[in-house]
Amino acid sequence: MKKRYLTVLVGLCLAVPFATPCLAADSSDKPLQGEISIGGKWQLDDLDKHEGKAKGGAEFDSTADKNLSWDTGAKLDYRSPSINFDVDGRYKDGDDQTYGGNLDLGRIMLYKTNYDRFMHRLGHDYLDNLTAQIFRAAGTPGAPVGLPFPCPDPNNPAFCQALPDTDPNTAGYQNSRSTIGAAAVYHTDHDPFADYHTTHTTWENSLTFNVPQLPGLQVGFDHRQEKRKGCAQALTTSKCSACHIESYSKGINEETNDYMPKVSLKLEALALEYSFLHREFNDKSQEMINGYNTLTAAHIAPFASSLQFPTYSGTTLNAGSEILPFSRTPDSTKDSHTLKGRYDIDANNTVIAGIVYSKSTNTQTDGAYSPLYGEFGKDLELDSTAMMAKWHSRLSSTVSLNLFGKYQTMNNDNVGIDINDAALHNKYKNEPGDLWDFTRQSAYDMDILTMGADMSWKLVKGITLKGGYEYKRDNRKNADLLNVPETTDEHTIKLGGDWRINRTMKWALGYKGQFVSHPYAYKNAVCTPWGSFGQYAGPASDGADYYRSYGPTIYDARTGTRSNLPNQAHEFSLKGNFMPMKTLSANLYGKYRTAKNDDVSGNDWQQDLFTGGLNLVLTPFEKLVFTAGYNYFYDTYDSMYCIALYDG
Amino acid sequence: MEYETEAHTFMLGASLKPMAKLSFNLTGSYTKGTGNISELSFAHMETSDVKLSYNVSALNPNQIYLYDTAYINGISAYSNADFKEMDLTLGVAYRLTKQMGIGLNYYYTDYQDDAPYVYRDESNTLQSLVGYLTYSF
Repeated sequence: MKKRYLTVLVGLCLAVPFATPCLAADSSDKPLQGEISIGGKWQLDDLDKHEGKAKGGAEFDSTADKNLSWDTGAKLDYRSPSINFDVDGRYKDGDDQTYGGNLDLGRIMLYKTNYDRFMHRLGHDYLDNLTAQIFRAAGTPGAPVGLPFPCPDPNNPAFCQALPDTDPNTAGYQNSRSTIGAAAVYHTDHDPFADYHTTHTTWENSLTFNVPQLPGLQVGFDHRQEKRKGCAQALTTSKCSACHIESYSKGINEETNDYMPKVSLKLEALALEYSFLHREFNDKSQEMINGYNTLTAAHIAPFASSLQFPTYSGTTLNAGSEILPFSRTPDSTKDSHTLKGRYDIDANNTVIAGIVYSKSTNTQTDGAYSPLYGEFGKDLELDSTAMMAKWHSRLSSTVSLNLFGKYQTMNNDNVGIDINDAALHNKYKNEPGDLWDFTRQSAYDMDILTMGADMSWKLVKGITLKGGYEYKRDNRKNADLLNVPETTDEHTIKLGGDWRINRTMKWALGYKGQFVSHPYAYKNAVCTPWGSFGQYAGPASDGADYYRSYGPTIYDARTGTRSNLPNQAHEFSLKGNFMPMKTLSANLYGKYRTAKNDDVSGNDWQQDLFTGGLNLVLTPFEKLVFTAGYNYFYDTYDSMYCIALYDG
Repeated sequence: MEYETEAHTFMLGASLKPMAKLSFNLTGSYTKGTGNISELSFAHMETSDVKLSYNVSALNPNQIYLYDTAYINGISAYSNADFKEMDLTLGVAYRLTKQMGIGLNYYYTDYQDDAPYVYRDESNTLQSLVGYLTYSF
């Protein structure tokens, strides 16, 4: 116990080595002990001198842009036969606070709380790279001559005024406008000088009652609250072409609350626990809207605009139809029931089993049907049921065995999508069953089965061998519709061993192999791997029939399968601890993972990862300690992509 | 396409307690991180209204070159990550009495962004002093 107390004390001193002197722990037996620290921070070289560079080196430091700030803390500890409590806290500024506390009333009521708040400075994407255009065709290839060029969208003058630069009053604007083709990418930053950050707050509470009249019965209630507030950059883009990327500042105000009542009973060999979780996520952030540009009239007539938004009456824009929401996160809830049990069959055999049923609900989809606003006339729900069991057996004094299995089934609601097809041309009626309408069936409709065994064998004193096997099957119900494998079978083998050579040296070796048939992949991800690509065939004679040219040459040309998951992976690990002399201790670690997927079209997907490090502690004499460490990380992977380029 | 990330981190620390009331602490760390995309290659695709490297700055100073698929090869350079960060802390603590102590810490952070991304150059040098007084009971 004394050793554990010392370990905790040393850990605290290492964790906050400069917060308090940690010079001498008062070992007296006073019931009340504490420490108060009052300090301040003087920022000699602060972020104000580096506007536009606000994140580097201070991503999580809220005081880096203040000349003076507090750095105070306190801790209090009270011990008595009937009441024990301790509290601690640290305050640097309003966005950097940490508090914690424990209360124990005669072991009947236990209360624990932790509060933590910190700032995260976010970057500002200035969108500088999002500027490109083609010339309007002049009839002769290679002749980008400025021709009279009317605004491609007479119903939206603002769109034309913004091309190609964000400032239509610049000198070059008037001249350039006459040469721009219909395909262009350009940007507007509506708040170019903004600095973005969010403040994260977490508050956890746990209250437990041990019922004195029924030993072993415990009733508890846990609560966890997480908040994210501040201001972040929100981006949106019009339907390309032309791609108009717009940036706004968005007020962030998100809150998640977990409420978890629970009850547990421990008898001699049997332990049961039931808990219920109710989670609420509420996004009270600024509700963003944007007026989107219409699709531009193409540079090759008669390719026409308007597929989904905005809408037209004849050739007249329906006022307000170009304004749509963006950057919104729906409110949601989750209810989860968990029942766990443990039974000790005898001194060497234990069985653990559990079942979890949960329902996650998107609570912002029950408005009148409007897919563009995310309203589908009902709450969307995801149901999940999972069952697990594990048997642990100590077969002998040197051999132990675990057998385990788990089954999970998930079912997500379908969603009907009614496309507002070509209202301008009235070719397709905007009614259910039209050409582009479809039912979205979810990739979450799936069953997962896992089973396996692992074993530990103490071969001789100082040497322990470990081995395990796990089988996992994913069965996807909508695989054909989503163009992914219906079944994935995964076999995992683990081998390892610990070797304690003597009191000064210990090694651990490990190997993990994964062999997967049909890992998750998208079957229509890339063009044919031999490098051919579709050629744009020009517009259809019917201006509303986009599929005639774009579909066959872009989407349908993608027939190759790609994945970023391996069908074969090997991982080797090594750990070593040694003390070559009394004053020096060292630990060494390394992990190498090589993975590939040769069951894809084109070249193999491949990954190589290596991490390693060495840490040393040298104590030449009691009052002097040196530490040194080196860590290395290397990760590389090869993949193949097919990017559709339509007018650039 | 090949994507590669690499990071080296060095750490050093020392603590010295020359007398019961006085202690010194020193910690330092240095990290160098890089990331890059390579073996990315797009062919130049001739279309009716695209000309690679055709300088049109006279027509539009904001768009010097016209768009071409071959420019996507610039992703290799544009996606580079290259930074160095050095953190240094020096501290001294002195116990005035059995119950009271004082301390002073110096913090230095230098972050060098050698391949600015869309957030522009985020290089910074930060220095600060923290002084404190403790009372134990």
